[in-house]
Amino acid sequence: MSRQNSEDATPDIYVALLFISVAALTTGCIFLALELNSYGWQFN
Amino acid sequence: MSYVGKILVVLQVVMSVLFMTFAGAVFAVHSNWKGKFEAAQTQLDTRSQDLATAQEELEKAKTDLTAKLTAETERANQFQAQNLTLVAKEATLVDQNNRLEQQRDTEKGLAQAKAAEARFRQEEAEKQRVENAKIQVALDEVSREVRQLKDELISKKADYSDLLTKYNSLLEKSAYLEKVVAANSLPTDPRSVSKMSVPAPPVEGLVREVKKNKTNRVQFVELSIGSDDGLLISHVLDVIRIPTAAGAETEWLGKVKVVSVNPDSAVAEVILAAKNGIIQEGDNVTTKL
Repeated sequence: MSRQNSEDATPDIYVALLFISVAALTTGCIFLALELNSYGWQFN
Repeated sequence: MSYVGKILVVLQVVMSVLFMTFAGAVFAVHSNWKGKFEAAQTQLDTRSQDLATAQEELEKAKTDLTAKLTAETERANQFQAQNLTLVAKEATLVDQNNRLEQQRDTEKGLAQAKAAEARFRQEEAEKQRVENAKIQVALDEVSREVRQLKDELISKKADYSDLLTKYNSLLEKSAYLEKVVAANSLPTDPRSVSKMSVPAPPVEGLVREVKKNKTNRVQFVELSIGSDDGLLISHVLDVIRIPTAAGAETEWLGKVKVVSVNPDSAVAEVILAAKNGIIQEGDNVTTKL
């Protein structure tokens, strides 16, 4: 931890994979929001 | 980073990609169930309204049909009653038809007889037309004769008028002459007059008496014969004297005309006297000369 506090780690492939994951989750949320919008945000 | 952290990161990435994929697939290929629901709901409402309308119409139709059924039942009853009436009427009409057929047969027979009679009448009429033509010719002839006779009748009427005028004048003249004849004591009976025209029968008689006039000449003589001997007024007799001595000739003394007769005597007027003889009583009168 101290090492982290002193200097930031160099982004590697796993960080890229995390960004990709965030983008995929965001896209999926947008799709689901649009789907719910088509039903008027009603759940019953 | 530990080995487990790395595996979790990779697993997180894989799961995130799968989540994105499934969400995109759902969004891409989903159906708008709400729209379908609303369309189905709308269709359901429409169908419900149609159903209600149809039910109302059904109820109305039921009511109408019930009323119609009632009316038709009543009509059927009426028709049945009418049917019974018509059946009875049909029976009556059948009887009437039978009677009419019999009457028709009778009339047919009569008509055939009438037709035969009509043919006979027609033939007779043809003959009568021929006769009529002949009669017409004769009628024309008779009409022509009638016209001629009418013309003659008119001329005869004119002649009759003239004759009537003459007859009237002759009647007046005859009346005047009858007065004159009656004034002279002459007969006016036509039978006596016609007898006067008859010539005197062959009779002989004697002069019974003589009557002289103012000049001493014999005017009237009385005869011994009369109407019983056939003597009539206006008969003329000769007066002769038959001599009694032999060798003497019969002397003609004159003519006398009977002016009055009795059954056995007559009076005659001297109409012609001989110059050399005088009529005396006893002389003969005769019509035989």
